[in-house]
Amino acid sequence: MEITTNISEKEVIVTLAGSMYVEDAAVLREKLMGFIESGYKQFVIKLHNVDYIDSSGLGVLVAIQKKVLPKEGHVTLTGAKGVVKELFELTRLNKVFTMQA
Amino acid sequence: MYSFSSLAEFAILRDSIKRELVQTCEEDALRLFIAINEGVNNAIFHGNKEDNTKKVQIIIERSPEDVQIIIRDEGDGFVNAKKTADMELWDENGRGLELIGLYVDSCWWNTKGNEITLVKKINPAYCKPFRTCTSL
Repeated sequence: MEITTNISEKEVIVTLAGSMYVEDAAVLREKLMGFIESGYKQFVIKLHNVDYIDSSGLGVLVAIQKKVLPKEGHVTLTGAKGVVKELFELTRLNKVFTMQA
Repeated sequence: MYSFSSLAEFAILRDSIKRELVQTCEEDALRLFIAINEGVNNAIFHGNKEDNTKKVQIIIERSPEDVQIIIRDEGDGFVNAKKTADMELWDENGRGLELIGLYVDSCWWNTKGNEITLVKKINPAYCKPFRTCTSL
């Protein structure tokens, strides 16, 4: 999986591409927790080019959301489609995040 | 049958498993793979507890009616094996069992709790006629 991060204003833009397996989720967690420790609390995670995300990846996204919400931050997910979108819907995690096309 | 001892070894096999599932039943291949991947993660991390001297095995069998997948580890058994996945929305861990339940028609553990069987019924409208899996 490719994980690219950019800062725009005070927002962390995370662009993901490929399949997110447990080993990728660990890398993503480390990167995003680093941003939170640096004071960032607004995240936009682009899923347009993600074809699969396993439960560990879903767990990392939930963990980030739980970290930033008390700081008045937020995780927005964009571009989920196909089975990735289905996974968020079936697990009801579409209620945990703001999901945009 | 697939046999491996670590996440790194499983990572190498993922594409082969996907290909076999596509050949077995293209329509359900991705959803079956999702269930297998979650089962294997459980086997490596919770079953074998990342002990690389222990193996995980995957057996994929196709019958005219269904695809049956067995995932077996060499751990002491999964203590919650008989518990149906019951996730809280904000839980960070444990969603693998929920996904398995969502993507197969039935699943069960052996008595010891170190072997899970996943069954997905075949929709004949989508899948090729029954044939023996060549990799078995």
